[in-house]
Parts: sequence; C-alpha cells; structure tokens
Amino acid sequence: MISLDISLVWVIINLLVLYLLLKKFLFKPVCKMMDERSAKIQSDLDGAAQAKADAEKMKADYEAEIADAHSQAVEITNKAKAQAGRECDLMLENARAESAKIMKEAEKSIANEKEKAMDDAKYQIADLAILAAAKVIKKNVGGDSDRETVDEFLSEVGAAK
Amino acid sequence: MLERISENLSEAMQNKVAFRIPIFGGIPVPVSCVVTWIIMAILVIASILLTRNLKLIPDRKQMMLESFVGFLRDFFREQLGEKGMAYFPFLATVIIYIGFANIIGLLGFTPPTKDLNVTAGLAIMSIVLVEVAGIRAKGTKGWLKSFAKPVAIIAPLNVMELVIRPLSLCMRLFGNVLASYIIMELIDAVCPIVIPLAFSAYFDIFDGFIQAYVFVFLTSLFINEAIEDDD
Repeated sequence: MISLDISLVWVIINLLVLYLLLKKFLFKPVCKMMDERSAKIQSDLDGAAQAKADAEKMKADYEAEIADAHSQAVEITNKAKAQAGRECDLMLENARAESAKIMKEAEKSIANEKEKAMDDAKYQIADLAILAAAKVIKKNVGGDSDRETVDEFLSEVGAAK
Repeated sequence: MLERISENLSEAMQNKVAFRIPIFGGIPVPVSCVVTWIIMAILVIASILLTRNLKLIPDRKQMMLESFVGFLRDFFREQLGEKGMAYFPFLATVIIYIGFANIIGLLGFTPPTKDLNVTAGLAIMSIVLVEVAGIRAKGTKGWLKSFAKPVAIIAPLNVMELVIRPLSLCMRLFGNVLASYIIMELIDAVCPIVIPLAFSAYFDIFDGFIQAYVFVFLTSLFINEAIEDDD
C-alpha cells in the first residue's frame, strides 16, 4: 500500500523534463525580459540624470556669461559716461575761453569805437566852436594855428570836465 | 456506512496503475505519472502561450506573468543570495509542480503527491541538488570536510542528515496530502453538501500551496547552508 517501486524513476524523469521545458519556455524568456527592462530603465534614468546635470552646467555657464556681459556693459557705460563728462568739460572750458576772448575783443573794439567817436565828436565840436567863435568875433580864425588853439581849449575843457 | 468509508479509504491509499507499456514484460505506468504528464502539458503549453511575443512595455497578461515569476525570483534570491540563483529555475519548477499537483484534486484528478513515490522522488532530487550545490560551491574536499563541521564529533549526525532530510521532506508532503485527502473523504461521507466546501478551501487549496512552499523553502534553506562559505 505505502511502498516505493519503479514509478519513482518516472517521477524523477518527469520532473527533470518539466524543469528543462519550464526553464526554456518560462523562466529564461521572462527573466530575460525583466532584466532587459530593468537595464533599460536604469540606463534611461542614468541618461536623464546626465542630461539634467548637463543642462544645469549649461545654465550655470550661461548665467556666468550673462553676469559677465552685464558687468562689462556697466563698465563700458561708465567708461563712456566718464569720457563724455571729460569731453563735455573740455568743450565748456573751450567755449568759456572762446567767449572770454570774444568778450575781450568786443570790449577792446568798443573802446576803440568810443575813442574814435570821441575824437570825431571833438573834431566836429571844435569845428562848431570855431564856426561859433568866428561868428562871434566876426573874424576868420581858420588856419592851423587857430585850430590848435581851439583843440587846446577843448582838451582843457574835456580835462576840466 | 463505516464499511463503505473504510473501503473508500483503502482504495484511496492504492497507487493505481494506469496502464502498462508492453515492453520488457510490461512496465507499469501509475496514475500519478499520467496526472503528472497532464500537469506538465498544462504548464508547458501555458508557458509557451504566455511568453509569446514578450514586450518591453508589458500588457496585462505579461504583467501578471512577470509579477508571478518575479515573486518567485525575489523569494529565492532572498533565500539563496545571488550565487544560489543558478538553482532558481529548478526550485521554481518544483514549487509550481507541487502546488499544481496538490490542488489538481479540484479538477477531479488524483493528486500525484498522494503517491509516496512522487514525494520520495521529489525529496531524493532535492537532497541530490543540495549535495551537488555543496560540492560545486566548496569542491569535493571542502564538501567532505563540511560533514565535520562545526566539530568533528557530530560528523555521524551530519551523515545521517543525508537520509533524514529527504525523508522528512518526503513524509511531510505525503502525509499532509494524504491526510487532507482522507479527511475530505470522511467529510464527504458524513455530509456531502456545503460543509466540504469550507474544508476543501483549506485542505485542497491553502494546505496544498503551503506544503509546496514549505518543501521548496526547506530545500532552499539546505542549499543555502551547503553553499555558504563558513571559512
């Protein structure tokens, strides 16, 4: 009833055959697929991490470049401002000097004009005075000696004034 | 009624011969062997059908298959470690086969594991696998030396284990399946409606899987012990 016999051999043969068949048809393909998938997921994750690191590095680079460009721009602007300021000062200086010069010349020419007008006026006044004197003394006092006398008189008057 | 029960039981204990191969004076092929062939056919055909065009992105069917195989693989990896994974396909085959053999009673077949020859065959293969694993891991010399560990005086006990281990594996599985078969027969004889359902759920399904698990768990435990480097 409970005994071992030849059918034990059947069991062993059956199990070995089943083992080989299941290994070939079940475990090998399924495990291979699972390993392939986990390898792929791993490589994808690694790739993503790599890409992220690259992107972050690029971002840092760009940010550094932008900061650099910004500081350069500030520097250039400052330089330009300083230059402009200097040129402006120079031009103002020149203009001031120029205007001072022009003023001086103008004053000089005005003085000349004034002097000339004064001389003219003196001359005419002298003539008038002579005329007036001639009329008064009914005597022709023309001639250079008379004129000298009148001039002398006039300058005396001018000085006294 | 008692007579009928005892008749049933003694019939259930018989290992019936399904047919004889008519060579060498007739080689007997027992029922358990035929049922094993049926299980093998189911398993192999299901495997071939399920593993047709596996894809990297799995569909539902493939996901279920993979979670099943992955569950077994994780279980044995935990038991055996990475270097014991060479024995994974065999142990997984054994657990699937015993699990199927234990519950095939539900389909009306006689469970092959009710035949002592089957459980003995399984146990012999297990102990051979354990010792082969030990020899492969440690070399013949190291394997022989491992009998005298941890101290030389227990070497006889270690040698006895060569017999005791497969015997306990064999008898545990056989006893459980036979006992649950007998209990189910008794319950059937007393009350054939409703009540057997609850007991069948335990004895045919739960106990069947538990015994398959225990058998393979112990085998992998022995393998792990045999291949671990204790130097």
